[in-house]
Amino acid sequence: MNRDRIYLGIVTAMIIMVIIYASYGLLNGGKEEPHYSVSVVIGNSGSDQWNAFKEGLNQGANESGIYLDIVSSSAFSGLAEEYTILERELENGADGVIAALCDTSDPGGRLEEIAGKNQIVLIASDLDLENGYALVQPDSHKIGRAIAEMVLKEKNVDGKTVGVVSGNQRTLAGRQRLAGFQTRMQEECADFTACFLAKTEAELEKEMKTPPDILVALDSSAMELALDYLQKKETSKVRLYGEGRSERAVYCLDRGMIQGMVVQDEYAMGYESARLIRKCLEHSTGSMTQVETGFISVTKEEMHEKEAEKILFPTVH
Amino acid sequence: MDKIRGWFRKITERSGKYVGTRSIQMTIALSFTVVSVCCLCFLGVLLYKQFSRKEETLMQENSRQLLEQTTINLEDYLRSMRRISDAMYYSVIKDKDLENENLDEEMTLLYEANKDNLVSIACYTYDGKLVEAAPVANEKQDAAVTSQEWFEDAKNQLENFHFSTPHVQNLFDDLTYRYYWVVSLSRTVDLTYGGTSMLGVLLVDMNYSSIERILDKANMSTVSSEYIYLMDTDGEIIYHPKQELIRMGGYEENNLSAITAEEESWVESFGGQKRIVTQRPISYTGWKLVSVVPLESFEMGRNSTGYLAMMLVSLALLTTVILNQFVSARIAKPLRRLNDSVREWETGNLKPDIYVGGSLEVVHLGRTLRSTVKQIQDLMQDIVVKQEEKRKSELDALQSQINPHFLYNTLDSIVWMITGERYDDAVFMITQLASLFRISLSRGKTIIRIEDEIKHAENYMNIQKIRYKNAFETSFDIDPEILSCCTVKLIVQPILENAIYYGMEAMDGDGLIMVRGYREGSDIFLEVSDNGLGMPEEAAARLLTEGERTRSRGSGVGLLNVHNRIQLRFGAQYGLQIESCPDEGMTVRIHIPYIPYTEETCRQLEEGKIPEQEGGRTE
Repeated sequence: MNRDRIYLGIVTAMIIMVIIYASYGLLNGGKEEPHYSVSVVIGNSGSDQWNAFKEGLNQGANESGIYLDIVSSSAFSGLAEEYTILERELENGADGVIAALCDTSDPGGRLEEIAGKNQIVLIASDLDLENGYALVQPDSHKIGRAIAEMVLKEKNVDGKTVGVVSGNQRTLAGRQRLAGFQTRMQEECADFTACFLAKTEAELEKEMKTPPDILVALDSSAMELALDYLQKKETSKVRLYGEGRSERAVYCLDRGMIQGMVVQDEYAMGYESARLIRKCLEHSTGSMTQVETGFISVTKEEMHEKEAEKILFPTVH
Repeated sequence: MDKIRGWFRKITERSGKYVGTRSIQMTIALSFTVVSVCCLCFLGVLLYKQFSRKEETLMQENSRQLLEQTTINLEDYLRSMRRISDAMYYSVIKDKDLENENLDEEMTLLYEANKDNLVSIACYTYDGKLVEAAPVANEKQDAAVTSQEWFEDAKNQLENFHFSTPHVQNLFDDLTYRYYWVVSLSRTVDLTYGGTSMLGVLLVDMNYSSIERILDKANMSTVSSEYIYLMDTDGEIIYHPKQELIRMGGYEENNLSAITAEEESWVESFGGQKRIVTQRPISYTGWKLVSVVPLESFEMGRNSTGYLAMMLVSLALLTTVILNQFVSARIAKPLRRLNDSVREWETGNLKPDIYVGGSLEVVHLGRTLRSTVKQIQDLMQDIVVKQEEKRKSELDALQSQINPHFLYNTLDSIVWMITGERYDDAVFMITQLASLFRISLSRGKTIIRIEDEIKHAENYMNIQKIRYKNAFETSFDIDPEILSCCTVKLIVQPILENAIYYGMEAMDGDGLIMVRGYREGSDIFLEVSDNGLGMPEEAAARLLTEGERTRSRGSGVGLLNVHNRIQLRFGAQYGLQIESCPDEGMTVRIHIPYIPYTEETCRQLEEGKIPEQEGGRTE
């Protein structure tokens, strides 16, 4: 009799356990993974230059279960303003921040302080990896080499003067690009030395008294500087190469003012930064704190090829 | 067939072996539960399958409807583009001689009317010279129109419309740095110059964002991971919700297999997942709109349905188990109570309270059992009564054995007294004889007071003393406390008779027979002692086992008879005890229980029952 009762008890307990299991499954079956709220701090956030980045960011956020809040902002006056916005977003409940620093020459201890307590992914920030920041950026050395490859396709490069608008050389990335460019040039032209190295508009004005045959802009701001200068001087003899991403730069490439241009894959940058911040928030990044994104080298003739079009014209008008 | 039968027999035997050891309640509950579990599990699986199938069908139907609707929307849009092209060609270009007239006004009008969906309308001669364009824009110097895909398509197939894949328009110079993604609709047209007909190409650049909008809207309306994409005849993707990701290599699409598929819908495994693919052709374009429904999108619904089915089945099972317990208890309880009654009967209670209740069958069983018990009781009672009657008749027979010898001798003595004119002695003897017979008869009773028994013994001894001419003396020392107690009648007289025959015959007037009666606790002892010849211990012991020897010389009523009668009435622990020693005499001790004489005790003893003794000792 007692044995019967034990069997009955076991059967009842098993049924109750199945009911509990099924109830748990029913209640938790529809639950999605936790969503994180992430703020995106980019200077001049309404600008078209960010369109591809935003598109990639949205795609990555959708896949990673992230609520994105792209902070509306004009161009930042300096790092202090950007840091204030970063801190405000984190205080307002953002789980993490994706940011593009407006100036990476001297990020200072404040960034370390913010990044120490919070999850931050920096995009194309050219920061020193030793600081341990989560970064999404292309390989600057490779970009320098890719620009050099395009320049080397010019006829008789050896006999031509090459001017380099190096951009911000206080950053590691800036220095790496220049090093990559110079190394590749010297591989082909043993005695290659840039005839001048301008970092600012004033320096460019000064050096352009003796215009080079080839002008190289190592980053997008340097490209804008070079374009401004060339338009101002109304000269078309100078062959311009470099890295750019603005619509103006693309237009100039199309018009033949730029002979070759390296364009970063902004969509990939946005997508990867959303994926990386999710990993950071789940503390599952491991050693993968840097994600390298791609770029293409494109000339006027190649710019309407299908693959190039997709990167050069990310926005559908 | 034999194999199946063998299995069935094995299962039946094994289950029977197992079930056979269980209580009836457990057996019923177990059987019901097993049947219920099987039925409910079957129903659960059926329910789950049914729900899953319904859900899958519903999702497929939704997907199909979405695809249909999107196809209709897209075809509407493309039809309207074709109409623009037709209107431009048949209503404007065919009617104009371009040497004297231009297309500007009509083309601009048409563009303005549809500029939400259009980027531009342009007409080129076959050598790539721009005839007219709307909106008015600067033509790129190095546009290389003739080598562009849309132009070549139009030239290669004169009769058809040609829809290009999406591309960035590379025709006009926009000083605002804007570039447009377009899908070019081109066709070969007849141009008239000064009455001469020549071929040209009419281009309608549709805004790709319009197509993207239609398909984005469709994709946003899906609730699961289902999506729709569009591809051209060669399988090149025109639109895909993850187009950029595909370019990056972060996602793959099985568009090349979709382009060769002839079925409208099929299931494929791609990228480690199963998915349902449905396709619809888009009229006049060669494009295909493809819907992809990953089967994993059903998983959540399937899981929920599975959990729901599991919970419902478990709840039903729990209810069934509880109900089974209740029902089986209801069925088994009367049987259990009936079983308890039978057990009570088995343990020796001859008058068990047989339970009658429960279902009709159990009531019938209970009644039958009760009737059976009653019959057995009656039969046993009959046997007891018959046994008692038999015993009584035996006793009567034993008692009746006293009469012939003794009566003959006494009457012989009386006759002898009368002959010798000893009338007083004869009267005394007759009086004693009358008293003796009165007590012997005792109105047919077997149980009498000790007082009467002693009286009877005295009467007997008085008669014998006359017969033996006072050859011995008698004395009676009876505790008055025991006088009113019960005894079996005529138990002292045979012992006295023996004492006279064995002990006193050889004595010459100095013989002594003493009768003593006393109580010890719940027992009464009546001792008859003589100072006669006595006998060895072994011979004395044989007196209670060998009745023949006493009968040969006694009155015919031996000690054995007395011993048997006492044990028959009071039990085996009572009876006679004999102590004897040669030449020293013999003591015969009667051992009986202390039972005060009342009507009730007398009746019970007469019926063969032993009443409860005062000292608390019961049998």
